[in-house]
Formats: sequence, structure tokens, C-alpha cells
Amino acid sequence: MKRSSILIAGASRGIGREFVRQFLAAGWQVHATARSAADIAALSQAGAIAYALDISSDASIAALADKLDGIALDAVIANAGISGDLELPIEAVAAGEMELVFDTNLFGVLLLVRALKTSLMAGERRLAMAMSSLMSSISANDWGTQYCYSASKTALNAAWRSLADEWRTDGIGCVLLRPGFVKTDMTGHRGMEVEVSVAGMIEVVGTLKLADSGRVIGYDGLDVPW
Amino acid sequence: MVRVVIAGDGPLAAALADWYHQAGANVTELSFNRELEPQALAVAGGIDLLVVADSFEPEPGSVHSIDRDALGASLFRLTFLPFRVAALLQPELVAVNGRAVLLSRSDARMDLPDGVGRYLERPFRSASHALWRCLSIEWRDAGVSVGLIAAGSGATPSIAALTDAIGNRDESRFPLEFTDTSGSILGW
Repeated sequence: MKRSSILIAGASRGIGREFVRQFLAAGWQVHATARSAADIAALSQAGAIAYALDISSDASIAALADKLDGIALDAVIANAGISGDLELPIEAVAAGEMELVFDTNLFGVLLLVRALKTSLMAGERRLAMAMSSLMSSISANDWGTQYCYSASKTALNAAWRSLADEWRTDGIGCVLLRPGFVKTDMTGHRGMEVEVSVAGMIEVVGTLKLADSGRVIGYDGLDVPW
Repeated sequence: MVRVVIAGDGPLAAALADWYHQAGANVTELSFNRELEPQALAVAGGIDLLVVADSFEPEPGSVHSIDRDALGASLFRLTFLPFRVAALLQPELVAVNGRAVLLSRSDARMDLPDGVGRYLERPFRSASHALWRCLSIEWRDAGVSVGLIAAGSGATPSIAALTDAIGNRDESRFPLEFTDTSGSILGW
């Protein structure tokens, strides 16, 4: 029986690293990316097929797409993301800070998945996924704060909705996943265990169909409201 | 005399500036160019109403037609500048319990299908909607009212209907909702 294959971008630590571990344990062929040589070596040692990727670089994205040319991917999870400075007050949010956060959380994620379309088309499941957040939800926000991060994730939701509409005729499902509040470097190691969150998201991935394209779905199976 | 600031470029901003001027307001126009920050910082004496009414409208197209530079340009124009000008003018809005309104477009809504590929517009308008929701929450205690109104999509809106909606300081809707000119709540 043919193994399912997935690419996890941003797999050096935290949620991405746990995705690698759990998908490998479930018998998937796992392609994974990181930026540093040490992290790439660690991913290889763990059993993944590892590549270098800097999602903020168009050349790096193109190089990865070249390496994956001819390789079928059932799924891609563009997990790369940064928080930026979450403590900045409104008046201190500069153009450079906003662009830095959007460059990774939206531009890089969207351009990466676009570059891997050929590999997704060669796969059977055809799932283009990235990581959203409850902070992306405008209607749920009654607390303000975290301007660049939350706005970047709202923008990602909108872009993925457009991508879902464009790629539906190709049979590619475009879904965003919400990991919940997880113990990672980004959250100061507060929240739920990463194993729980990732197990929940993998369960969601296992149920996805083309009809789910355009949704933002949490690790708990619940939709994130716009 | 009521002090009104119109920020942004294009026919809508010009029409609104003219309307408020004709209505007897003291109107300041701020263009979205490199002089924006010094000109915004020079505004003094309190602002009763800030309206961000920029007409920037990128072309839709396939995801394969966009690049990082175009995405960055849309981010700057549709998300950063409206947020920035509001932030710069916040002390003057607070001084007189003023109102800040962002004019957007109904087809920026994520709950609607996108049949044409608005990658250079919808994500950045949506991000802007998120940021203005934050402003509505964080500036409430300082007495600043925040509005977000769909000024239409394509056709030139009725200025009379628009200015009625802009002036409707409905405090019962909190946090901010996205409304049309009749006051009906739209989806996000």
C-alpha cells in the first residue's frame, strides 16, 4: 500500500516538530524543512526527508520547489510563523514591524503553497494547509492587543478563503488549522501540551474532504469564526 | 466649528472633503504620501471626526499573478496607513471625544466567496477590519468612537447616505461591527 506523504514547513521545533514526529509514527512519508543545518540534520535523524527553507526568501522557496519536482505530496502544512513583538502599543507599530510579521505569516506561507501546487496535484489527497489562530477571528476579539500578529492571521484566513475558491476546481482543499494555546517558545511555554494539540489537528486532517475547503478548523474540530 | 480630517486619496476622499466643507466644517485633508506623518502630527486643536477614505483598489487575479512586492504594497496602503494615521491622530481624537471611521468595501468580507482572486485586497482589508476592531476596544475608555462602514463596491456611494452613516455614533454596538450605510451589520 502506498504511503501518504506530507511536507511540514517550519519543523525545527514546537508544533512543526511534533507534526513530524506524529506523522512519522502514523506511517506517513514526511518531508520537513528548517532553516539551520543543525535543525535539518536533526529532522533527518528523526526519519524525515529534510530540506533547507527560509520562507521569507523567494529564492529559497523556488529551490525547495525544484527539489520536490516530480515528488507527489498528499498534503502540505505551512507551519512557519512568527509572533513579532506582541507587547507593542498601537502608536509604536511601525511599517517595518508589520511587514516583518506579514512577510512570514502571510506572504511566505501563500507563496510556498503556490510553489508546491504541482506536487500537490500529483498527490491523492491534495490538501494545502497552514496555521491560523483564534487571534485571527475578528468576531471573537473583544480584547484588542497583538496587532500585527492577529491582523496577519486574519489576512491569512482571507487569503486562504480566496485560494480555496481558486483551487477547488483542481481538487485541492485549502484548510487552515488552529492549534489552540500550546506550550511553545511563542507562548512562553504556557498552555496545553503540544502532543495534544497536534494529535487533535492530525485527527482533523484525517477527516478532511474537498467540501471542507475554505474552513478554519481547530485542533478540537470546531470552526474558528471569521 | 466641527473639525474633520479626511485621510486617503481618490474621488471618495475628495467628495467627502467637499461635502464636509460645504456643511461648514473645518476640513483637513491628509494624503497617503510620504508627508503623511509630519502632516498628521501637525494637526492640533482636537479632531471631532477622522474619516479614512482611500480609494486604492488593486487588480484581482490568480494567485499565480502576485508577488511579494505587490503583497507588501497592499499591506502598506490598505492595512498599515489607515492604522497609522489613526494612531497618530489619537491624542487629538481623545481631546474632544472624537470619532474615527474607516470606509471599506463589502466585497472584502471573508464570509463571501471570492470568484476573482482578491489576493491583493481582501486579506489587507480584512486585516484592517481586525485592527479597527482593536481600536474600538482600546480607545473606548478614552471616549473615542470607532466606526467601520462599507462604502460600496464599485459604484460611487451616495455621499448623503455615507455621511449619515459616518455620523451615526451608535454606542450600543460594541465591540465594532462592520456595517453598510443603512446601519445593517455585515459579516466579516
